[in-house]
Amino acid sequence: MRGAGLRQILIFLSLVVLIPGLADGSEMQNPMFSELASGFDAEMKISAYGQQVKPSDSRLNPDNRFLKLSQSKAQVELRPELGLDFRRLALDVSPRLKGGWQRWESSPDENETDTDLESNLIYWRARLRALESVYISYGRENLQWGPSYLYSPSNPFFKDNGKQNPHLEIDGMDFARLVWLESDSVTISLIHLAGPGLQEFASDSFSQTTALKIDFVGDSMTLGTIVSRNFEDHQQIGAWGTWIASEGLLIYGEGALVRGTFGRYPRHSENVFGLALARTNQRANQWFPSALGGAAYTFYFGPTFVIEYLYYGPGYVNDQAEDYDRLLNTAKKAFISQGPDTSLGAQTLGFAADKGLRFLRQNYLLLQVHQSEVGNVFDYALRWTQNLDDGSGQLTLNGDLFVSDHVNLFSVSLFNFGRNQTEFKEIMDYSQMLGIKFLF
Amino acid sequence: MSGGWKMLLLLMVISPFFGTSRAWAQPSAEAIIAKADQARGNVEGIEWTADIESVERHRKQQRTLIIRHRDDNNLAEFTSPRKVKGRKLLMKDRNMWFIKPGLRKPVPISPRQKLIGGAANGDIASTDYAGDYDAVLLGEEKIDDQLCYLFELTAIDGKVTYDRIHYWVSKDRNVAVKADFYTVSGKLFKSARFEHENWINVNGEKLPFVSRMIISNALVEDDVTTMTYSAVVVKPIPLAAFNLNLLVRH
Repeated sequence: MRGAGLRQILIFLSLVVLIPGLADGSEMQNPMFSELASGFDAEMKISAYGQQVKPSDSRLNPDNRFLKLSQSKAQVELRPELGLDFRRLALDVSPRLKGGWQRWESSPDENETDTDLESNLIYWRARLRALESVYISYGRENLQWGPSYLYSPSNPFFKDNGKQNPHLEIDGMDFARLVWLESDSVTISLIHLAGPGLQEFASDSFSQTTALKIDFVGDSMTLGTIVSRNFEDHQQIGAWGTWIASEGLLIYGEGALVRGTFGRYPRHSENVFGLALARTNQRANQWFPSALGGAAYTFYFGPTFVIEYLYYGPGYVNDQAEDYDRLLNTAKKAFISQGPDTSLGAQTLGFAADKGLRFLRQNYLLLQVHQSEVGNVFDYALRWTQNLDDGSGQLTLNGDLFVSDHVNLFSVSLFNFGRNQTEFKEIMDYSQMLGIKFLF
Repeated sequence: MSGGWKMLLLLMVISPFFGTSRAWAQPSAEAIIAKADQARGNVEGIEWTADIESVERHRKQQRTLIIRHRDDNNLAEFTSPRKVKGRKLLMKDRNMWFIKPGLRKPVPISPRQKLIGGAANGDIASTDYAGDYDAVLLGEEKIDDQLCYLFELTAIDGKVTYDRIHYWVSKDRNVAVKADFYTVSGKLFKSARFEHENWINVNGEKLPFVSRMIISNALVEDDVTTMTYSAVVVKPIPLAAFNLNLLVRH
């Protein structure tokens, strides 16, 4: 456990224990204590799940020898949520305690198991209403916005929008925010990403980022824009919008222009492979566009059908994809040969596994159908994601069944389709998660 | 000119105004519906609790929400049962977002999406039928011994929850008594009955406020959703309560 995180948890928990206790005692006479008690809120979730993974035998992970993915996994998570509203101040803390077990079923780690216990402060935030329409906050947050399901290109902070598996939490990063409610329809936010929080940056180096975000809400449409710049002079302009075309139809779009990219691209090299994955564009002045267009239609009988198209500018074009294929095939052979080029092969596979790109290629299609409260107890989402460039696809099935007011069974299944050299088959063939959540 | 002619001329000049003054005595359709809207939440700064009980295919479900309204903003926050506690539905004009605890990304949704049982998201918000629909007075009818105006409401555009509504408004109390909701194809798909036992004080005037809304499925007779309204408080609600940038917490 990180020391600072533990201290913060203990301080907040002390307040949490003290506040209701004081309010129940003689201090109840004191209106301030009763005000504190009435502004306090605490909830607890316990989530337990098991996951089965079948790694694909791909050039990136031949026989699972490189990534060494565990095939069986079980995890129990305690997820308390604590909040306090007191006059101008709002405090939120989300500590986590996680216990995990995993098992490997393929050589060279066959039948090996591992357990771990971890605690952290995944989210916390202190927010002050400085003026009637100005709010200042600092804390560890997962900031998300925009209408899209597949990917939020306008978000310069988080690559994952958490839509694919809603039961796994996205680690927060440390943000300072100033939010000014200019009017009922316009909100202006100044956001500073101050620290990586719990996010891990394997090869992307973390860089502080400052952004100006403007939200506009109209009669039946919304618009937003965000301009950001990090300390490495990496700039991004993003925008999004939604339009209620009819009572059942929502049309939306989201896009971004990014100057430079942290992605690794195949380039000619003097090494024995003749190619290497390198950050050729990191400081380049080239602008990379990304654009997503989508529509969601809700039928009278319940389900909502979603279609999205994404153009992802930083992804590989055909020539780069061909070089990437060639390089990975060479790296795979070198890695499994255990010869003089094994370490270069491993390094290349490592770079390939962490390219710094959200998607490998440029053109994607998402089709989804989802519905909530079927029979008032069941939510489902069925999603197909198609890589239009290499032909691979991914099927995701999410189901949530409330067996009682306090118990939720859930499952997330993910199946990848395509040739082994394609994007979605690079890591795994399928994964299946089954879990139970207790709500208190 | 004789006195008789003068009197006739005077009558000719002022008679149109008598006609107009009779029209003033009879409020316009829009004014009647606006008054009925007021009794269904379209008041500046108001909060109430809605207990929703739905019976669908003989399964009973219950939800409790706190609803806050100001101008064109509505926020519905689920408080029970535990499985839905913390879910929020934000409505700004015709834009809607669904916020689920654990998911940091608010999801924009359409008004048609189901809330629970026979209630759509649009049903829990305060209504602005006077602004959203063209009204034609079809006549007068008695509903439960109450003499009512019967209006046909046709959506001004396709962005509201219902395309066409038959709307009965009590002549005496100016509150909604019954509504039949129709699809685009003209089929009746649900009906609602209203009771107004709550009272609110707006600018010193004591006004009736909806206390119960019972929604029946026109196709499945036993499917009924009852929304009971309580703890109605007229109070200033800050704009921050309806701001997406500030709403997402746990």
